[in-house]
Amino acid sequence: MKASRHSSIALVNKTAPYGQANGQESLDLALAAGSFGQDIRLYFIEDGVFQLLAKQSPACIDAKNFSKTFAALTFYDIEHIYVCRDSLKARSLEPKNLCIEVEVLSKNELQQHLSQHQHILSF
Amino acid sequence: MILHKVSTSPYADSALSHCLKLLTADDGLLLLQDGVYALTHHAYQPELANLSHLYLLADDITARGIDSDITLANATQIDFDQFVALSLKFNQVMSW
Repeated sequence: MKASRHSSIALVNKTAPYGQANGQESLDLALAAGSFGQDIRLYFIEDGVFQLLAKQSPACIDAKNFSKTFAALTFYDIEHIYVCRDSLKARSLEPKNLCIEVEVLSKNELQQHLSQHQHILSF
Repeated sequence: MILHKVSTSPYADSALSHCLKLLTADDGLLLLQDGVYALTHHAYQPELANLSHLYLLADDITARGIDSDITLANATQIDFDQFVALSLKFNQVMSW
């Protein structure tokens, strides 16, 4: 589904969840913007796909399991979550390994999608 | 038409390599800060030399003493005012 050029924001997540705070910050932004009715779409590429893994238990490294929050995105009217197929494949992952339903995109689809947004924020 | 902005050294992280995967023919690539070290990287030189919209922040090249011999013929060196203009010319800016 095409995002409308004039209202949408792409949040592109490229980093793994616990080494840096990027993932948590991106999610906080998504929830805040979602609360204000912004058209937000999330993209997960490269190591960012690791944020979506289903079986994370980071309590043992004193980190919060923010992946639980992905399931709540739908309540903030954030329905479009896209994942890069090549990035999954390179990391021996499949959509069934992820904690939520996502739309898997080829490189070409990803390029097309990103070019449709008014703003791109990367984390 | 996205302006992709790479500001880290390709010897230190994968920003440039990830960016090049998604770059389309219409997109621009701007190398700035440590991103300009990509000019010295043998593995990236051929691909960079083929880009039709390659921009380099001139001050960052000068500051780092990068040899003008290796700045590519297809690249446009820009100053900060042109950087602003460029970010308006492209539809979006994506920072890697």
